[in-house]
Amino acid sequence: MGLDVEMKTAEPAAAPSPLIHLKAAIALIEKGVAKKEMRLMARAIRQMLAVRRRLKASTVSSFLNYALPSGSEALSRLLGFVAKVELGDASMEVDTPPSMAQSSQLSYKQSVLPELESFSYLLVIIFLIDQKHLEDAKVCSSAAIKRLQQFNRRTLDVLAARLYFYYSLSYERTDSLADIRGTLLALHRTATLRHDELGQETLLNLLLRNYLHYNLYDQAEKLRSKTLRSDSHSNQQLCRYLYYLGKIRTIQLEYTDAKECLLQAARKAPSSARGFRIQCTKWAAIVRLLLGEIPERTTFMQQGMRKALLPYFELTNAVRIGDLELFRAVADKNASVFYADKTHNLIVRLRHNVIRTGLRNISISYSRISLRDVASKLHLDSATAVADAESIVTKAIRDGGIDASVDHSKGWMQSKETGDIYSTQEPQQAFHSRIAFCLNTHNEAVKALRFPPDAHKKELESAEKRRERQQQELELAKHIAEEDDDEF
Amino acid sequence: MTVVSTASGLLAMLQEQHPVLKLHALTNLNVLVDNFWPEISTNISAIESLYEDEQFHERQLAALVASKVFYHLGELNDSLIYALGAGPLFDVSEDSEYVQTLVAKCVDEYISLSVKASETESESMPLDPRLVAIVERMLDKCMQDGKFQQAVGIALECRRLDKLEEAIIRSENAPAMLSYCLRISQTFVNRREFRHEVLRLLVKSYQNLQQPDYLSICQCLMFLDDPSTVANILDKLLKGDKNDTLLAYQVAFDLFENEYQKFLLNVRDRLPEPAVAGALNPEVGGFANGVVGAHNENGISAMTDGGPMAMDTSEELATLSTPAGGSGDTASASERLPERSPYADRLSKLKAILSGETPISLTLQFLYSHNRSDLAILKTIKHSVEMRNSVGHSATIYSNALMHAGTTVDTFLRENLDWLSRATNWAKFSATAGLGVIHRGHLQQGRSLMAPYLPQNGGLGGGSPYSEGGALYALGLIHANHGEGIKQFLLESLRNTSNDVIQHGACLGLGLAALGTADEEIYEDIKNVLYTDNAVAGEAAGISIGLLMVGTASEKAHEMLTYAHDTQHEKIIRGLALGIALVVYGREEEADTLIEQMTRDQDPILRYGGMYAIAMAYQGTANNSAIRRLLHFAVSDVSDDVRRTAVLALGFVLCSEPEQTPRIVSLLSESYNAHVRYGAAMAVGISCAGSGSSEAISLLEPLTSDAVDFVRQGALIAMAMVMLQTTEAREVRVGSFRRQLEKIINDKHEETMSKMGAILAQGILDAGGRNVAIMLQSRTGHDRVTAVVGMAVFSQFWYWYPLIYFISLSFVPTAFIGLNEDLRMPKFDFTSEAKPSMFGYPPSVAPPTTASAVKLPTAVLSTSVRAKARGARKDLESRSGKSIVQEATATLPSNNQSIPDGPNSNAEILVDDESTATARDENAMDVEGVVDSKKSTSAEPLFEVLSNPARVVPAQEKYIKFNENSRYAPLKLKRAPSGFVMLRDLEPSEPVELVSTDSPASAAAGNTGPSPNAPASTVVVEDNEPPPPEPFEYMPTE
Repeated sequence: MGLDVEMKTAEPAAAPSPLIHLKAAIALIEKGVAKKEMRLMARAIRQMLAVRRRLKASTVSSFLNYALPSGSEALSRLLGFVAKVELGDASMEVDTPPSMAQSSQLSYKQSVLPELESFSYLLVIIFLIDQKHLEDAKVCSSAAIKRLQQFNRRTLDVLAARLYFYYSLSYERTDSLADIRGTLLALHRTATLRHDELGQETLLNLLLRNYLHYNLYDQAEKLRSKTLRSDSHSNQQLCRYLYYLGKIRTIQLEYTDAKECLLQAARKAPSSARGFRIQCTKWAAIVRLLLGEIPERTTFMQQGMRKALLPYFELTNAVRIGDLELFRAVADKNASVFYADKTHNLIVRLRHNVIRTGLRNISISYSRISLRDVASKLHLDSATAVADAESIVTKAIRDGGIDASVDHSKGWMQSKETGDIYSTQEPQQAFHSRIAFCLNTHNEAVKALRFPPDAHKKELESAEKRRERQQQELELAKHIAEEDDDEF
Repeated sequence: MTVVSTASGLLAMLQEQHPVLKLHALTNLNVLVDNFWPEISTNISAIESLYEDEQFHERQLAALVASKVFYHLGELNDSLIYALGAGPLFDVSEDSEYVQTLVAKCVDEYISLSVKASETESESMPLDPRLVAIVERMLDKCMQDGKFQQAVGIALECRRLDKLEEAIIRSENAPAMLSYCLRISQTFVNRREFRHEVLRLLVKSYQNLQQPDYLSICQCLMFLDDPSTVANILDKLLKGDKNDTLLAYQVAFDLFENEYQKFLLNVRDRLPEPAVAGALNPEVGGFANGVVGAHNENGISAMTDGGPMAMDTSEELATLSTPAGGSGDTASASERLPERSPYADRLSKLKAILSGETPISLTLQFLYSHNRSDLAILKTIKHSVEMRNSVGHSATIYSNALMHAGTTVDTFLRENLDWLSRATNWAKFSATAGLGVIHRGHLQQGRSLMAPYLPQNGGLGGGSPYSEGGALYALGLIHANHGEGIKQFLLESLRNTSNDVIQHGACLGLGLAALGTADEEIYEDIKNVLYTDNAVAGEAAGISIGLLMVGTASEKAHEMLTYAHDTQHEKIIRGLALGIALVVYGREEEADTLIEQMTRDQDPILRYGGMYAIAMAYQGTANNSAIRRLLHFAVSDVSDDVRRTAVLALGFVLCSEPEQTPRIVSLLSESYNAHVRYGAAMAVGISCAGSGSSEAISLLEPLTSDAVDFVRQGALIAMAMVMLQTTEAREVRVGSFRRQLEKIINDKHEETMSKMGAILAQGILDAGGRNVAIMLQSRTGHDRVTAVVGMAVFSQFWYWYPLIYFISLSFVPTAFIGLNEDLRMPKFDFTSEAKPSMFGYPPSVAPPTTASAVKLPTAVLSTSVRAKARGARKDLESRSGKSIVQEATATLPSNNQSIPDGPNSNAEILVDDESTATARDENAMDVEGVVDSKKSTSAEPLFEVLSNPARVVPAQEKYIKFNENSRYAPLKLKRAPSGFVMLRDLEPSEPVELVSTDSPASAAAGNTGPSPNAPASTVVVEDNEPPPPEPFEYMPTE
């Protein structure tokens, strides 16, 4: 492997060259196909992602030459894409071997596994996306999907799911997601028919994302409710699903469900997925505000997220105080952020909550207060402020937001005495839910454990050991019997 | 670009009054449904009501849309109903996933409906004609595209015989299609009745072919139990030319392999008498008849006298036996032979095959001449077993019997008479019976061999009842499944005695000899024994009735069940339970009532019989419901015996698919219950016997060192069965297993049970002089009754050790025996394209082999320097241990000439002074070693030349190649190259060179059987001594 040596000298860093990693990935894939072991496929992809940042056009093309048979259609097509990147990249290093040398290099195999071909496609697509050649990535991924549809192999599932993802990503980056909705639906149907559960999951998420991208919440919900979901196979996909579901639920005013989904999504997401967790936290914060809860300060102070969460922190502050003025100011100030996050319409909904929080503060502070004062404290500056205040207070009482009563004839609000919360079942329930959560987490962790097959068989005792043990047992029994005799 | 983002507008339009609007909406929805099905599905009721609206014109369109929506929702059943409602709009030929899925669903639905319809026997539910139309359209398309195998498969699954026939007729390669069809009908059609219908159809189609495949036809007819048609076909073939005659013989041999004694006898009886046929040619025929008659008489008288030559009626045998055995009559018979009409001659030959005489005597010859058992192993066992331990002692005797099963070599017994005489009571019974296993198939001389032990007519015989009973049992074993000649004698012995031990032996013997004949007379006598209510005799009687009635599913089973409820003796109940199980052998669903009755019984012994009944009724079918039932009992019954048997029975049910068994019982093999573990081990042993499958070995390996002694015993025996005829070159663990056995046998502290298991395992591992395999299915993939029955009764040894001998029924010699039209073995070579060590014999045990009668003669090749050759001798010794050697005496000169690529002129054979060699062995080595390169004597050749008759283990079959330019060619090339193969002579004008083998008849002729009390006769020992080397001339090669 002259090429390898060259690569190594070019990169004096201790890390082995990306090409070696990729070749190891090939070995993993072949082993995985032979043993029908999906885990190895996933590991191969992980290996590739590990070297993603260090990929260069030369590496990719030499890998392609290695993995794919010379003269195959896939090879020429993929090399074409890589060559374009090479041409466009002015700062290319010069140490790339000339293409002649590449083609003369012995190809790895004459016939290639569909898995290897898909892997090559995946590599090139990721490479293209990383290099910002989005249009090329779009073309390449479409070709990959078309090729994938010709196969029906369960060993392809893991790779196929990845390819779907990048297919959708390349279209999203070029803002043409609507074009592929039909294809995704067809793929999803195929995956369902073939019991490709990973593919089903991935595609459902992509479809939801697709709908939500265009704010088609209603259609997303219809699709979601009509598809059967089996147990999740991939944690990432489950996180995404929960996130999308949380968004849909939020829009549908089912805040409790939404909160649960979003919090779980944020919790389950790997710590490296910072962007995803920020998004989840943002939505969760809003949902909690809409529910009338105030998120803890630490939520917004998480490492690496503070800056991104700042607008929401300010917003929460406004709600907490129940200051409508402040709320309006914050909303105006950060409007662009909220628009970008598509949370603006929810912020509008929050206004009620601000009022209610203010009202609660009032009801705690005063055992009795006139509605007029309430109106002025809440900065209700409309013509019929008192009537507005009356209706707001009444509604809050009915919703259970405050514990009070309204005396309509005298025009005041009378707060009830707050009882001792520890005399109720509340704390018990809170404990219960926490314990249930812990137990659930534990159970899930146990379920997720994998045991090596037949490990217990190694522990079988040999004939000699057994005899020894039996001897000992016999002696022990005799000993005990003698002791028994002694007693009499 | 107008990208529609919602279908709500169209859906709203459905609610409009005007049909045109509705139609417009539907048409558009039909196009958009793939993208907007989630939305449409909320309004599916509107579309459904449109379909149900009789007024609406385009109901079918509505149905199509509804069908598509349901398809997307995953409700394939609803989708199918609407698709059928869509009529012509549902286009079957469309190449979309939707259509493909629905058509597949359609076919599935149709299959399940038609299977249900055929099983309930009532046409209560007429099938949807639209469904039928679609399925038929698909079948037609299938056939148009030339995918006939698929068409055949679907037609079989749908129970559509008409379509099946059509597919066979329309296919271009009808014979191939028929054989495919035959194969899948045997393996995949679960219901027996329907399978028979298919077989009938197959026979019909076979007969319509240009060149009917008589081999397959006769196989089918055997399953249909139609002896007269088979007889007609055979008769027709005999009247044809030479090739047809060969074919008739081949058919007969193949039928013989399936071992349906009753059927074979029926076929034979339906063939015209040779005498009658000969009468066409009056003069000669009459004479021949006379000869046969005289010969017949002589044979019988010889038998009753117990004289040395109990020649059978067949002229064939007379000619085959060596001159040593020739009495005056036989000589004259063979002289007269050529004078008889060829047809009558052929007919009698055919009859000899069908009655088993020819194949059995050929097999016997093969086993005798190729015997490679290693007495050193037995010696080690004998020395390591304690004197006083009777279990170990008799286990050694069993092991010896199995090792020499069918070889007629009883050297070990003769050499150890003192030791042998220590066997008393039942041990004596089994020691005597062991002779029967050793002499199995020795039909002519069985009686005379056993004569010293048999009960004397006067009843005054001084012999103990144990040895007399054992001798009767031995006779049964010798004549197992071919007991025509001995039946009467056994019956009389049974009637003449009232001793329960002799009755026991006689019952077992009768059952074996009359296996499956359902002879009423015998039945009555055995029943009388049963009704004496004696535990010892009753047990044997129960088993014996089962053997007698194998596979008849007669009413007798209920009679037996009633008696089993009446009697108090557990032994009798157990015997009867097993007997009932044997009666329902292979009857599948027919046996279900009885099985149900037995498995629900309160008595655990009858439930245990029920497990065997499932095993027997569904043996080799891998029937799912049977497996489910067995697994249920394996984990839920309260009795350990029942659970053990349930697991064990899995082995029988799965014996056609050995790869499945380890997987299915793997969890059971880790059960906390030792009985279940034992059962799992035996199940694997039974179904994977001789496969050497690595999963099976991996499963058994931990069990061989189990904590419980009897589990170890079972695992060791099972392991031996799995590894039978597997060499170390193919499976490394064979060697370690042999060492493990040796260790267990020599270990003083090992428990008796596992020690016995190890000794038996040694016997099974080297069974039949290392030339037999356990095969529960014949080479054509059908079940072998005798073998399965033998294995089932063998598994009873848990309760009754003498039943161990039943395993010898499942032994099949792994031989290639090529025969010419005279049913003799011509000289014929072929190659096995694998390394000799892959399939060779295991090397003999090394050091104390001085007394070993089968120790290999040492052969040394000459290179230029003799000293070098001496130096290389050690290598060769180990090599020659692996290559095929014809061990017994053979004459050097003739063999030398017979090998085409004989030794080069400059390469001479050097023979050591003290050793003698068979020429074939040497030649084989010469061809490989000397011609290739003179120096690399230790490199193993990649192929091996085998000579007729040769040992060909089942796994070796695919490596066998026939030489193109050889004089003989097998009649049927496609047939597996093993068993009896008829050879076509391509140069009939040349003189025929026959293989000269000494038959065991001559060896045993001189002595009338050893008696444990008499000094050993030396004849046999002498006979096994190799002859002195031929004179040779030493010529230096350079």
